Amino acid sequence: MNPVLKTEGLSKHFGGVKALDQLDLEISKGAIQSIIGPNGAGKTTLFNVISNVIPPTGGEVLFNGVKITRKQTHTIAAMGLTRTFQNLRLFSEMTVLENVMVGMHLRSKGGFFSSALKLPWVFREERRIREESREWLRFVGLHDHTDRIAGSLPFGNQRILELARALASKPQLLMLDEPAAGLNMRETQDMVQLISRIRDLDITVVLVEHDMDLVMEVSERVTVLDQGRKIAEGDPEAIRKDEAVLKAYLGEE
Amino acid sequence: MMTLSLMKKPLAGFVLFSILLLLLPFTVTNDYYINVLIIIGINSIIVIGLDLLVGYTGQISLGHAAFYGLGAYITGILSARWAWPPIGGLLISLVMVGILAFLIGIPTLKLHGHYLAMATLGLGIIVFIFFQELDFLTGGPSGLVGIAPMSLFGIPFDSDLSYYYLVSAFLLATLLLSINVVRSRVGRALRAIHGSEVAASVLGVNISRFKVGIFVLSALYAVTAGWLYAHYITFISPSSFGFMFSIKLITMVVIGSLGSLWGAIFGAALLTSLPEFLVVFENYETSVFGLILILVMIFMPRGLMRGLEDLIKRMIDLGRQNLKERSPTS
Ligand SMILES: Nc1ncnc2c1ncn2[C@@H]1O[C@H](COP(=O)(O)OP(=O)(O)OP(=O)(O)O)[C@@H](O)[C@H]1O
Ligand SMILES: [Mg+2]
Repeated sequence: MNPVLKTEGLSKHFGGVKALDQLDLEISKGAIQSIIGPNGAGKTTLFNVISNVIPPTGGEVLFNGVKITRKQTHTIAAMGLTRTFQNLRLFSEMTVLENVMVGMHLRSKGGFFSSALKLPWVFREERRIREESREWLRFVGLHDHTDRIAGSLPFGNQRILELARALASKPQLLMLDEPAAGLNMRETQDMVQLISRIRDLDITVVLVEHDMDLVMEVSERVTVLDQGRKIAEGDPEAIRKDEAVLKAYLGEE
Repeated sequence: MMTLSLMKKPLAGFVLFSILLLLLPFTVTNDYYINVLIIIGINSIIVIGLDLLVGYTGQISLGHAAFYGLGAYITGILSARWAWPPIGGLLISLVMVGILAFLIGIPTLKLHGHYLAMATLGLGIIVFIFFQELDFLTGGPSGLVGIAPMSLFGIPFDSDLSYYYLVSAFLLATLLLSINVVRSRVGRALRAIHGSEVAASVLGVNISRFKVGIFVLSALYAVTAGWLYAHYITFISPSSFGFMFSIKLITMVVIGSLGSLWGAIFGAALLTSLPEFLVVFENYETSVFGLILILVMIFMPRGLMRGLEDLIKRMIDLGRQNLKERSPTS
């Protein structure tokens, strides 16, 4: 089966630091694949380069077989690839609902001219955006906070909101960068539930996570990075026992 | 509170504001104040546009006086030198300045950082020099005379009162378009860009397209204001369109409230009418503005409009608490 996402010899150097070092990676459709690795392994950099938030030093990224390496971030998003951030990036001055409504940007069309004149179809589109955004909030369980300012939500809810916002764009591939970081045990459990339900939406999920229990619980496949290179790959049980993985993690201490 | 609910229902606010504009002239005793109201209206149009750019999208322009000046000079020159009708001057200046803003916006807004501020600062200086030096067109430092008074489709606007209503109509149109933009997919994209460009772009927002779009739109508002100004005053000189005026416009946006259209109008009204009350300070006008700006930034960092809103909210909360304490049954 063709992978949804593929990287070929992908590299990113920051001065002397090789955050990504000739990385070959394949993500297959419909699965939840986790990427783990010690701090500084290059996980966030991988997401940044794939979404072209920062350009790679070398190598290629293919999405559904199409090269996206030099495409702009918003074009990549329009092709069906979006992500969340390890350090939250909500539109913190906007309401919870508005955040999700921005998530529907790609699935609506109103431009300067049509919006300024509030043409009838814009009016209808706006209602559709609002209604569907409410549904997404219900899906993730934030519907009681619809009109709150996003920045005033408790941290755990902010993480969930970022996820809802990404879901609203109905991506084919969703990359989650440490969605459980900073959450307490109960919130983490809710997040696990939520991620499992995302799979049912026909969205492929790539998950970066430090919480091993979470990784083992939700993922079908695990890739381990260390110093920008892939050191192991396989199903969760195999990874748990892998020598190289143990060494990378222990070697850190 | 009425002011609070108005913020949430801008269309109700819009209707009330229209009625206010309609009745305002009947409340002023001195004709001179109609004059001031007209200038307030013209400045409000610029400041609304600037607020869309600065307050909503977070991009700073230090050269909006140049767009305003170009609006005034293009129509002024066409009118005074070639006897063009005002409507022709408006159309030509909208097209020309629209293209100019687009050409400036494309390279500067693609880059991160304060390139737009610098580019518009430069533009302001260059345009100002043109106004001064191109004597044969602009009349140079001593100004351009002989601009025809406003007349549209055969209707003359020769009294102050009729001009006031003309400006009000343009102000309301600008305001309505802006309310619609703000409360739309476009407005959300603009605020998203302000919040986090990276997050907006991973959700598919084409950052440079929206930044350039709003920059051009705000320039067009300024052009319209310049056109209204030129055919009202009928004499223009470079000094009205210099760097200081750009700063004054930014001050109006900031004082009113970044990202609130009502605040923009409030800021324009306050800073335009203030000199009338502060004639005693004459030469210190700029310093007084600076002082006001600093005080507002320190004590009401979200702008006067929001500052007042916060104050009212706090008072309501206090009132509620008092009520609760007095009647334990509720
Ligand atoms: N913008 C940057 N400039 C310079 N160096 C960077 C930059 N971003 C990342 N790095 C470096 O690249 C390496 C990989 O960082 P990255 O953030 O990708 O790691 P990570 O696997 O996400 O780690 P963590 O688990 O702590 O989030 C680190 O050594 C980091 O210091
Ligand atoms: Mg990281």
